[in-house]
Amino acid sequence: MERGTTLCLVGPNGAGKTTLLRLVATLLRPSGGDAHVMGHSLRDEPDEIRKRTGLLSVRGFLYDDLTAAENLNFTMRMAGLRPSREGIARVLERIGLAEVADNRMRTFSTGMRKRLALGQLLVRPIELALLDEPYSGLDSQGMRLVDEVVGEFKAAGTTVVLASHQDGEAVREAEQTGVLRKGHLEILPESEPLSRHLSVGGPAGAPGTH
Amino acid sequence: MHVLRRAWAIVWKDLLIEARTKQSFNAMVFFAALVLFIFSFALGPDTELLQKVSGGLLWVGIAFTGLLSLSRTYQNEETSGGLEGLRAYPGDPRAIYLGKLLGNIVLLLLVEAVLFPAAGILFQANLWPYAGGLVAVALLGTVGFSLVGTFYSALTVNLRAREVMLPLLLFPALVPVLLGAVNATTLILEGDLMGEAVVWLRVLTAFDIIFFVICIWIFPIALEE
Repeated sequence: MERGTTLCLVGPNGAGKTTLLRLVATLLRPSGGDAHVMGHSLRDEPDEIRKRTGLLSVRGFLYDDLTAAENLNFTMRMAGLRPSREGIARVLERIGLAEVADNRMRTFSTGMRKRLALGQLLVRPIELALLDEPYSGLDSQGMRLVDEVVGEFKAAGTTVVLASHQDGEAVREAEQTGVLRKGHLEILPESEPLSRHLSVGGPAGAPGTH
Repeated sequence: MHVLRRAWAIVWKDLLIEARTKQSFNAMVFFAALVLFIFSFALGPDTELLQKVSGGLLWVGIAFTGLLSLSRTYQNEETSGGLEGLRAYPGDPRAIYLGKLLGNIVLLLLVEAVLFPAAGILFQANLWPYAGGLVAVALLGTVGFSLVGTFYSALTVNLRAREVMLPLLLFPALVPVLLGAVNATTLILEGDLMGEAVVWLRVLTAFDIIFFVICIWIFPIALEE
């Protein structure tokens, strides 16, 4: 992938989209072979990759009994950064959670949790953003936020890989689309419509509605 | 320094969550009090006997209570995707071990601060004259217990039968620390006329140093596998 571009991964449930993202994020060790991410070996230099990579997982790496601001504070400290109130406030404002900054995450809806998980990617500098089902659980405003953040990532030269079953601007505007089937990745030719591989609330791999 | 800063972030996060939920502390204090009450009732009003066995009874209480805390060490990570959430951050994974270890030590010492005076009252023993020695044993014993416990807790966190596997793996490895702590506590409570408690304190110190080095060394491998 070229720096600053987007790859959209599609495929039925169980095809290996999340596994691929977790491999690239170095949360899983390859059972065989190796791959290089930003010039670093997955097998031998996982820490170099972790420094530059942010993963938005389906559940998010968040704590129920910390507030939204505390969750972001913890993320920054674990990434080796010095947290600042202003920086955290700016990100909370950006993701639309400024008013609930001091509320415990336990009280948040699924959409609010997803926004906060997205905020975790914004509080530290990354060169590769891995987004696993970024639209799931979000309302139309939240989906627009994801599209805007992906746009900002691209403008800043951050490469984005997103796995999604749902349609969205970021999905449609991805430079490349890859279809995962039984662990094999096939890059779609530009002429093939993406909608065939998307579904909204339908069964896995069902024909899309867009 | 980077490792220590990240470890401190984990301690801050874990203790903040514990201060809000008190899910481990309340359960530990209740359980420890129950163990002491049962022993106290079982042994009856024989003050001499109670004082003779109080060192052992105290450490039985601490061991079982500590086990309760250890089994929850990584459970508050479950909402954040388990240990995966912590592993996703860059940096030396030893910070995770150090952070969890310090959190366990602080929590167990807080419970012991309640447990020791309670034991003194129940076993009709005046612990105050022996406070210095008892604090030293409690510190060394708690560090040793937490060093091994935090390590095995990470090893068993993803097992289905972790509640069974953790004590099965942990208690054999804890024999030296329990032996040292029980003997040192008993000797101190008996007045330690021959100065033998120091020998057991040295055993505990050696155990702590050896296990600190081993656990810190192999934790990254254990975490990856």
